[in-house]
Amino acid sequence: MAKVIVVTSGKGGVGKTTVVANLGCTLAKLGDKVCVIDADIGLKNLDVVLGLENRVVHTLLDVVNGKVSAQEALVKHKQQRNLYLLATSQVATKEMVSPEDMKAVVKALHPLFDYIIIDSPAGIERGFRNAVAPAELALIVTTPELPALSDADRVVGLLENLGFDEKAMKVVLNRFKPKMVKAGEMLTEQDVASTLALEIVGVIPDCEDVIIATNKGIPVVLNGDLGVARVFENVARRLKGETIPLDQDLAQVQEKGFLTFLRNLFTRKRS
Amino acid sequence: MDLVDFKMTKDGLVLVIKDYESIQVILDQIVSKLSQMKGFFAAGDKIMLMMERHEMHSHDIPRIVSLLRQHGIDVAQILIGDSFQNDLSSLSRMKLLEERETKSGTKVVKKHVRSGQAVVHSGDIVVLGNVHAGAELLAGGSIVVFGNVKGTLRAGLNEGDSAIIAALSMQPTLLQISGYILREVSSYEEPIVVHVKNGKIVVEKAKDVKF
Repeated sequence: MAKVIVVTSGKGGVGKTTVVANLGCTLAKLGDKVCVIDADIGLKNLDVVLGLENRVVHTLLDVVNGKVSAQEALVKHKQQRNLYLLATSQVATKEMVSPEDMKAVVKALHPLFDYIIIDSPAGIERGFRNAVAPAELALIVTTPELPALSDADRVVGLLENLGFDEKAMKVVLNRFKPKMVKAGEMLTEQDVASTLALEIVGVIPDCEDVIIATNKGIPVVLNGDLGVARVFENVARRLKGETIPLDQDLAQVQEKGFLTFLRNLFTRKRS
Repeated sequence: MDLVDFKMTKDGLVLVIKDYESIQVILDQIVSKLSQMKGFFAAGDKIMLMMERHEMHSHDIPRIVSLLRQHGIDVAQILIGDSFQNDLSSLSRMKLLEERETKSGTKVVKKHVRSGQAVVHSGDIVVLGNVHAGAELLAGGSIVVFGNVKGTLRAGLNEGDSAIIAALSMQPTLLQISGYILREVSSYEEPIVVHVKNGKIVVEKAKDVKF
């Protein structure tokens, strides 16, 4: 039976889709069977980030409308054979799917996977409710900025009203810039933890490789910054129940400057 | 003129209260409305409350809520909107945390109150947790928070000036005791008490406070 995780944030642009793609890849690398579902109907991105946009034949909407079964609509990832995508339609709207539909789709996929990760749209309206309905665990992605934190807190409140308890909600802190934190110009991970009063399961460094990887359609954990890949591995292991202190993420973040320098040196020599 | 009306929406029944001068008139009208609708409500029914100029009349909300509760009706949500003609379903809403009748008159909230959540109680409120930015507490009496406060606290809405607000630390959005409002409160990292002294609302460190 699969563990169903929704990745949400309230605010847009904080990196939900990137987290879903990379976490999905990482769990698949660790040997789990993973399905990622794009619930951002009408503004789909996940297929592009995974580099699968021209392989999508059927979408979530076809499944909901009964044209194909959920299993038939899945797209296998090119590199990660354990990773599957259920893409969504760009021409439909969020009102065409109900929370009950989402529950039914996820229920059909339940026996086939170890993890089902749902990419929620920004906002707290219908799309959010659709994405959240089938999930048992919510990952709230936020950046260390006040507007993102305020929206994240609102989302946590809404999730609480929907029956999620504090153990079923965890925070992923994205776009963390250690240099700015050191200079006292950015909120620290402790600030974020105390503002939201929830457990943080990952601190992901701000990294240019992520942008490059996103535009190439190859998640950064597959082909890019080693530090980021290790942080995502930590996140995945924490979700599996291992206790890895957050310092380990921060260590990747802090070493990163030097590591990248070394790596750049190497690549330059070789070329 | 009728200032009080029940409206049916797709999300449930909404008690709509128009802008008013005297709360007593509103309370009387609610009672007479309820007596007209006798038999319609069952004990424990949940409705929503919508008030025109909610900001102006927020101090009356606990009285309205407790009056409804006396008639066996729970207020589940408070709808907030600027334009009164708006489609009700589009309005933002404050969900009231579940509230059971307390024998002592004190409501104890054993969790963090988060953005978009509100606690409304006609007596005192004690929170074991934080009050986050965007959350609101409305108390007829005093408010004590064993945690950090970043949201809006309104105390003494029934009791008046003798109510106090106390918290372990504070960077609040707005503090109100009875009719006194304090904005732009500076940040306090130690236990503090807010109370009304000689017709003024004052903020004092808990260890220095003298009533």
